[in-house]
Amino acid sequence: MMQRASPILEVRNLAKRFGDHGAAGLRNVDFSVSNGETLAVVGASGSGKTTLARLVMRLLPPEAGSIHFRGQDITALRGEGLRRLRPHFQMVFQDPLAAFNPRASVRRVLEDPLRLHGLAAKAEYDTVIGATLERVGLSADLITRLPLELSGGQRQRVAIARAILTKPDLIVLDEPVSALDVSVRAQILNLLLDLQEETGVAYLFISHDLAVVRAFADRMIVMEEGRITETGMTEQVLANPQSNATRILIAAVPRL
Amino acid sequence: MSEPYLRIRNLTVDYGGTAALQDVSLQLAKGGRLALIGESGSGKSTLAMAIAGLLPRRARSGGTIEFPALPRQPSLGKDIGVLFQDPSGSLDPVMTIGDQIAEVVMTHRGLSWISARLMAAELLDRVHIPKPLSRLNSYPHEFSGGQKQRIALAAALAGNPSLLIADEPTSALDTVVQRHIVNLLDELVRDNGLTLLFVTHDIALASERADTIGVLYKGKLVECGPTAGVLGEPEHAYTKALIATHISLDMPRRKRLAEINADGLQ
Repeated sequence: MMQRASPILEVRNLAKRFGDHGAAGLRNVDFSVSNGETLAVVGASGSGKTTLARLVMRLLPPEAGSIHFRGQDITALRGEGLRRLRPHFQMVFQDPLAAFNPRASVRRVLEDPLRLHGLAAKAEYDTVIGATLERVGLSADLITRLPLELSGGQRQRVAIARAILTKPDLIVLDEPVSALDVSVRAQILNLLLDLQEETGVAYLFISHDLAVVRAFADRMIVMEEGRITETGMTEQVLANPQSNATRILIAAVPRL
Repeated sequence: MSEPYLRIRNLTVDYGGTAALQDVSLQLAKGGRLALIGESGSGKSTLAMAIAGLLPRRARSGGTIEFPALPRQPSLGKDIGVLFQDPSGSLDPVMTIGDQIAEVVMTHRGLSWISARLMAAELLDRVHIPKPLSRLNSYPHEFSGGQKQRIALAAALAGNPSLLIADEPTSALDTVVQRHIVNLLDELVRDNGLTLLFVTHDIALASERADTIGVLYKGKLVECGPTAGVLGEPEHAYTKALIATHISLDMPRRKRLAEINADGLQ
């Protein structure tokens, strides 16, 4: 339904090789994400999901192909040009403990984007941070805590706060709930759904868990050995899988 | 009724002031498969570690844990094998996998080093590591996460235990690898007549693999019984909430996911 809206992200023929024989990596990856849409990227370990996330975030250089963000080719963008665009596409990692400087308080973690992108005057930092913490369901009192002094769910909320501070158009979510237990998982996904409804942010959602994808994503692509083997609306793909990789993933979901 | 394999009466554990387990009593039959479920901090791992005899030194406990089916107090490694969540944490990174498994075999089965190494290869074969003889001298980092968990399982079984305790053995793995590991667990438990206790936060996984489910909530065993009964007629509000959070692939998508509302539970 959102297919025809202007794509926020367009990936064309993306390729990336690792190692000498070129077996690992990505080949001919082609997809787009529309404004306000959630696209899930699913696949088993080693299928290339995280590599894809890193390429989209411009954390790794691709070998071939192109990445367009809001219509602009960012494949070769560097330096100041890339820096100016960075606030508009953000990322949330699987393990928030590894994504934060362990010695930086929540205040410092959240001040960085404000300072780097000049989003607020210094005197307003605490107000902006406090409001953002509350927006992600945390008390503003947590501002002095270190990452280790937070629970897994709280840490992931701080990671989401850091991502939304810059009011991005796209957030890449790399397995954001797979390290969390069931009750916290639902709270975090609901927070992300609420934020999307409010701000129209698009998500590229990397996951190996089809149950979560079922509840969260509009469309999905299935990856196997660095290629896209299937793509479509989430419900249709799950109801009528066309590729073996998808069938294996479906069969792996525990059933009550 | 015959003697149970494991009998726990009024077990209480606290870590200096905070009670991790309160008054837990349960029985497990020989060859039974018990799943302990609950969220982080519910006490499920504490209960598993108390049974394994692996509580940290600062833990104080009361109550009794008995193994009526065993002729003596169980010894870890020999009577009880333990599989942890993170295989990288349970395998020694600077020791070959063959040596790690053979060490357990030698200690608990009294075999010579050479026979123990052969037994290690046999164990690796049983957990489906291909070409096991040629992998004895490999190090843990040469294997994927799922393979490492298989190797840790081989080490846990090396003493020929009668009880296997698996503490979230697949939580760090993707769903496809998880399925392979739990299938393997099932197969080994059945083939060797093992009693299995596994800890998970995934109620669907528990329902597929266990004949008994124990639900822990805030340190209390709020429900424990045959799987069909616990799922079909849950008594405790937390169990009901946990069942409601399950996402089925054929359910129509809803606007939001079901959450567990802590205020509604006692």
